[in-house]
Amino acid sequence: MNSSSASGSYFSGNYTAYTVIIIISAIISLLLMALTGSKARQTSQSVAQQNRRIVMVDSPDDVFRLWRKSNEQGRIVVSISRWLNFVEIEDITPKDNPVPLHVTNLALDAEKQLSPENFLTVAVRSGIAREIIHVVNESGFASRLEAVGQVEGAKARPHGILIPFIGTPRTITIPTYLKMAHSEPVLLYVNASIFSEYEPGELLMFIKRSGLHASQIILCSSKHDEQVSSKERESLNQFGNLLGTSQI
Amino acid sequence: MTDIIKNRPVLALTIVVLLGALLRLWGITSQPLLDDEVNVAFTAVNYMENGQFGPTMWHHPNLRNIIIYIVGEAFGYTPAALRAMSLTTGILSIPLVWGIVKKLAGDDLTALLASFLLAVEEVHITFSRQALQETWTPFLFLAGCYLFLVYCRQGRKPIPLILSGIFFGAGCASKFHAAFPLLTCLSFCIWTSSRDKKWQRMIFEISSLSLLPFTIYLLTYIPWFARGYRLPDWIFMQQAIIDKMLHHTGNPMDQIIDKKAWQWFLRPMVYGNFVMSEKTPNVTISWSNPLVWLLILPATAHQAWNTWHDENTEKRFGRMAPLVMFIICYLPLATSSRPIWLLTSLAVLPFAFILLARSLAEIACNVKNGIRFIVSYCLLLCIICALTYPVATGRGMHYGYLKPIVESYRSAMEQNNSGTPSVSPTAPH
Repeated sequence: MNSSSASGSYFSGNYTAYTVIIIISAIISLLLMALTGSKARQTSQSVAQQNRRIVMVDSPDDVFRLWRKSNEQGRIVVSISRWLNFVEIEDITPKDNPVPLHVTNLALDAEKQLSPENFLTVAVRSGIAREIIHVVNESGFASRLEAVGQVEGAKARPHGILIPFIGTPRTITIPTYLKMAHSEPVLLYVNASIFSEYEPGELLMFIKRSGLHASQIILCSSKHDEQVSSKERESLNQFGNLLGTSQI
Repeated sequence: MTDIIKNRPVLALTIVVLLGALLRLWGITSQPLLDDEVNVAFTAVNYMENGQFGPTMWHHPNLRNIIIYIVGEAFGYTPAALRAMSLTTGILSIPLVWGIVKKLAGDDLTALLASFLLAVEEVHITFSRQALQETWTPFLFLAGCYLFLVYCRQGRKPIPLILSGIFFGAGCASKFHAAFPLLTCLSFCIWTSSRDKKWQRMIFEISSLSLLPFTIYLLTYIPWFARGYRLPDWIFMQQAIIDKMLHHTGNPMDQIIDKKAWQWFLRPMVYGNFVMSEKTPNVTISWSNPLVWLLILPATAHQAWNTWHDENTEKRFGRMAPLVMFIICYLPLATSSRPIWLLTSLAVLPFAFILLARSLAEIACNVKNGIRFIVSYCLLLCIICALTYPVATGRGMHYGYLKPIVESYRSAMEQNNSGTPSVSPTAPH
């Protein structure tokens, strides 16, 4: 290698200057990322402020329609239900490889496949949800915990299952373990099916203890679902009444 | 021929580059789009407009999505536009390899041979003609290596190393294995600067080859952060990506695609793809040329032996650099427990070809009629390239002598394509 002792000392001042520039560039890029995320959250929060309410719907896919109607974007969704409502949607890219290629926005295309079973998947694909926390009942959690090893990317943690979806954070937990990492208001969805194992007051207590704040709360009776009993729907109504006087 | 190589090396290189360009550009606009290429276009739009990953190769970094989107929106999502970056980087890699050998104090013959081997390499030709990032990544880290050598050889002026860090960062933002040559260069800097007790220089080198590439890599995630994510979310997402990458097994229907990197240089291997276009089957099959690939490990051993016995420090560095690069880039892939497709060999081939070229050049200089042997060898490679070129570019069905070979792969690939599962991981509902 060429000896660089002489040129090294010549450039030592430049080395320091360039090092400082590189460090500042790295810090600026970190700040830029943080600001980009923050600005997006602020935009979505200002929309959320206008939509603050408690709503009752009949079917899970109505939840998505309400979110879309109120222009929700980039939100954290907390789903409290016996089910995950996260069935994957069909691959809709063209298979005949036409030329010229007409490339569509998959977020808009995803909504065409909306159903009660996949409304949370569509919420992620369409950009409404940037993170999902599934709060399920204990029996459902236990069975999913057993199946962790069979699901790609899933990891068991002390208080939940991490199961990211193409990089989008997803967690499965139970009301006892629910704890919010920060105070950002969320979109809260509560399905009547959760009351198969919880009382309304009990569930509300868990939610309050978690530190959860919701900008919009949607209660779903799953009116046409035979797996949901009338007792569970009645519990949902009671929960709605309790929510009205709470400060979530 | 010898006169051209000795007296007009740039002319000789130009001929090789033109040959490589011809092989990569011929009929490019009429080559049908593969499923992967279509998915790449949708993935690019999905990322840039929605900040979301997928539907394809979501575990890879996002430079591809950014470039494809920019080019697609500017020129339309046509085959030529989608493949423009692959073609450009594929062609420019040829003179870049030549330049690296020259910077390593290599002779003109070694430099020319190394660039020629890359120019006629079938796997490289195939992927230069596809809208994937397979040829982008080696170009970017080769550029990083070249600029690193400029820095080392020309008085350690800061700017070349900064540019090197930028290219390495872009390489890592294209595919993760660009990190291997980056870490090698960084380790070399730390070793030499601590040996010379040049602490300011060392800090500059560390920041140029770690912080700077990281900054470039991070900036490619702007569309993702625009969904409202925080920095801890980014770390979580990177962990998910790395986890996916370490356990990626690809299409479970793949039956005929070779997926063991440790066998790359031990036997002929194949990569294949199938698409129906205007009711015509287009089967692309890319083989590793045994006349080249099976010589890589013997050449590596030969160069290791010569390096060990070379008493000239300058020459020793010139020998050791590609040897170390080849080993460090190849070993993680060869020892990986997950499937590694033949296309990933492009991360290793440039250094492998430098080693082989050097061995061939040394043999040619020490053996009677050695140059004639080299010329004959190169002509033979050209003939093999010409014979297999149609099938490497998806036109094998149009040539009678290739049809039986293509048909033998076609049925397996049709079954493979028809059974392709959803590209997203299955989640319990």
